[in-house]
Amino acid sequence: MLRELSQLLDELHDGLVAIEARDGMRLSHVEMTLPIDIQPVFRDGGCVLLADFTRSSEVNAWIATPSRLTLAWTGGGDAESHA
Amino acid sequence: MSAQLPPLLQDAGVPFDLFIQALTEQLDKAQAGMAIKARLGKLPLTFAVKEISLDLRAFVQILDDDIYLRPAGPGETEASSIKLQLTTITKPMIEENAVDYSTEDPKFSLREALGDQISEVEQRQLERIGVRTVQQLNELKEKAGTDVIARLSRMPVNRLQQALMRAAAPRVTRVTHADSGNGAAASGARLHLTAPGLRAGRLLRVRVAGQSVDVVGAEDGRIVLAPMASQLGCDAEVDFGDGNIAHVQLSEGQLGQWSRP
Repeated sequence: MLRELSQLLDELHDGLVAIEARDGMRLSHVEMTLPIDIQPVFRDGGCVLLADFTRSSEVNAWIATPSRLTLAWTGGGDAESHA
Repeated sequence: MSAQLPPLLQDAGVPFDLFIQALTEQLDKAQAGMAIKARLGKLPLTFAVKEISLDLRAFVQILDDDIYLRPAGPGETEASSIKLQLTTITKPMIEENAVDYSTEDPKFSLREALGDQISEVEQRQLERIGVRTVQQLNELKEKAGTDVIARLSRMPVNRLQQALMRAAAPRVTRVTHADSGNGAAASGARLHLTAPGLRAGRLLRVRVAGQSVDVVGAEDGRIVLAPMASQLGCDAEVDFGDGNIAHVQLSEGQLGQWSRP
């Protein structure tokens, strides 16, 4: 289901925090490359980016090459400087 | 365009700058959400998005000099590949590169100042070359000339000349009040007027209902008036002494209009 990209990132963040809590480990750096569907829509007087991870990363005639989102997560502190 | 896409999405997609803006908004939103979660849940801010890159499969087209982007849908195999890479930026970096909008008086924005003299398309054309106010337009005319502005902004010369003419009309930038000590007749107010066409040494006359308004200071492009209390807020005739006459209301933020001599 397409939802705001921020929501998608939020869910990924939940997943990383859950791994730490469950496995009792501290992740310092995580990189992930994910196939993604992206659709910009006009909403509330502006443009909102909706996204979802594709169900399949298979490359075929239907989806030749999906868009890809690469994220680098890092341990605390750096978020304060992000704008 | 695919029928699966929301109806409000334009066939051409969205302007590229709008797309980037939407992307950064989502990143900011996600980052803010993670910070709130960490504070409310008394958790350390375990992770923050440090870098993000997006390999986007999309169709790109240029309409009216704007780049439009439409992400490819299923079955659309001929899309271009666009790689966007964003990284963490610091507050000083933003301040160093951002346009200082606080110094731009909204009263003199192109739209406010030029009104019907300029269309939305023409306004965008000028904004693309960094001209957002009439002051900037006049400064650029002084430095580069009309032809260069027309070429860079891709505005027709005659339309640009009309806009420049309107922009060069005198305008009241500031009204200051001070105790003049001259009795009831004088208001003690000083009216600062900018008029790009004004040259030092040229005899300038300002009248309100046939009565002269004192000119207490003049330099290239600027004059300072000392109107009487009864003249404040009235329509004044500004005679530049070179055949050009304009009318302007003696109130802060007013932009004058040229009149036929």
